[in-house]
Amino acid sequence: MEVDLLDLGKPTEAAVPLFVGLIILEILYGWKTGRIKYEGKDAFASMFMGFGSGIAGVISFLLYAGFGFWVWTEHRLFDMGSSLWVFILAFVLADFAYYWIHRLGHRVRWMWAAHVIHHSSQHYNLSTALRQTWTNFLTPNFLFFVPLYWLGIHPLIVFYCYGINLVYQFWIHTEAIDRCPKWFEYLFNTPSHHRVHHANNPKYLDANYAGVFMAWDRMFGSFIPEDREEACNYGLVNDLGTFNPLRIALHEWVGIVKDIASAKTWRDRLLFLIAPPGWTPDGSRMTSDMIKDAWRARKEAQKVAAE
Amino acid sequence: MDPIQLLISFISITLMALLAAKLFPAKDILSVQSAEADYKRYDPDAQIDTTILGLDHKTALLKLKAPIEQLGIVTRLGDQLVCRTAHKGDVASFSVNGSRLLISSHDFTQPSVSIRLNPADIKSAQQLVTAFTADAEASHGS
Repeated sequence: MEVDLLDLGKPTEAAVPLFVGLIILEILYGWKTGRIKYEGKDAFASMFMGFGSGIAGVISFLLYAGFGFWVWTEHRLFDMGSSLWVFILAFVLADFAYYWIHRLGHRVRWMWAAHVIHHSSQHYNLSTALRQTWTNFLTPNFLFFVPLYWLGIHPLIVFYCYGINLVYQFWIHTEAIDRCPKWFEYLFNTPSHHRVHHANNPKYLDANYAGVFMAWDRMFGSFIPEDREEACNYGLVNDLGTFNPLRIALHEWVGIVKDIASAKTWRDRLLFLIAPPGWTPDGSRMTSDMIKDAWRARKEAQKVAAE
Repeated sequence: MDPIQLLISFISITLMALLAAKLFPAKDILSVQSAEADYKRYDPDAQIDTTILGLDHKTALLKLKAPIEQLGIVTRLGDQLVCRTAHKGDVASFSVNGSRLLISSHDFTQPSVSIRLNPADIKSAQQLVTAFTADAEASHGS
């Protein structure tokens, strides 16, 4: 059975009433139980970033759609049609593409400049899920879907499946749910796995990039389980000192421009763009790898001292 | 983009944030102990000498024993703390206005912090900050 692609809606727009309802429920649940924390300005900043992301997303969508349709029309190898199994295949492949976009979004400063916004809250609640970038169109993220178009998956199917992927990720931004059933924790991204991803504890840095399927993290060595002995501390290694949405949206881009302007060589200028966040020619700032190394060294020293 | 839909979204966001603010009022969480604990989390190798806490519990300045070439700044943002380390030259300028010391920096997300202090602390805070100011002679006034 073929699906009429023009009937496909936008999952992220259709889910907005659900987002609103669940956030209100979580606020009330947190107030009643004390298990979840909200802060008014932080929640406003997060949701306003989501609001702005929806507006700026129009530019990204034009870029994604224009490029996607061009590749699909001019360069596709097959025409996969629009049957149910194509949707399933598209969903899995879009999740795989998401994994790499997300992983590189933490490891390449150019891509981090857009993604950092999502990690800039020190809170972890459903409003944090909406704290999204305004500058996605400045990143090369759209290129990661090229293999899907080449295979002949229609761009509208890719966008639809990617939208469902993003909607799925909403509910995992919560401390209300401790652990899901074991089989579910093994297969899928859950609040527990994603709490680790949002934590700035050295132990948890650069882990759990999955959108929906945890298989990618398990396959590519980036899975770290939540440790009950080590509570997650949320936010950035250098937390932002503001709730101003413009400063939140642009701070890393401003940092990149400043660094490139003060760089002495073209090599350094390039590395300020593509090296991991925190990289500097003189090592005066710390990358996540350096932070983890220092943490391991401290732990080792403590162990030796205890013996 | 439907303007009505945008307006409804904005109003919903505002109402939800107001609800959150009402049910979770930000508490006074900055003390000497919390500032030092959070700074130690931020920079585990730091050895804190003295901490100057603002009278309004919004900012604390941390003089370090090691590394001596750093100044710790801890500020309250909502119900969370934000730590910064200033090196020599990171403080763009500072000024004193009555009991308030205003410190400006090149930090895009925290371009200035202010700290309200009693007269005895103002002097030691000024001395502390001077060492990290880009052009100490030209920067401060009162």
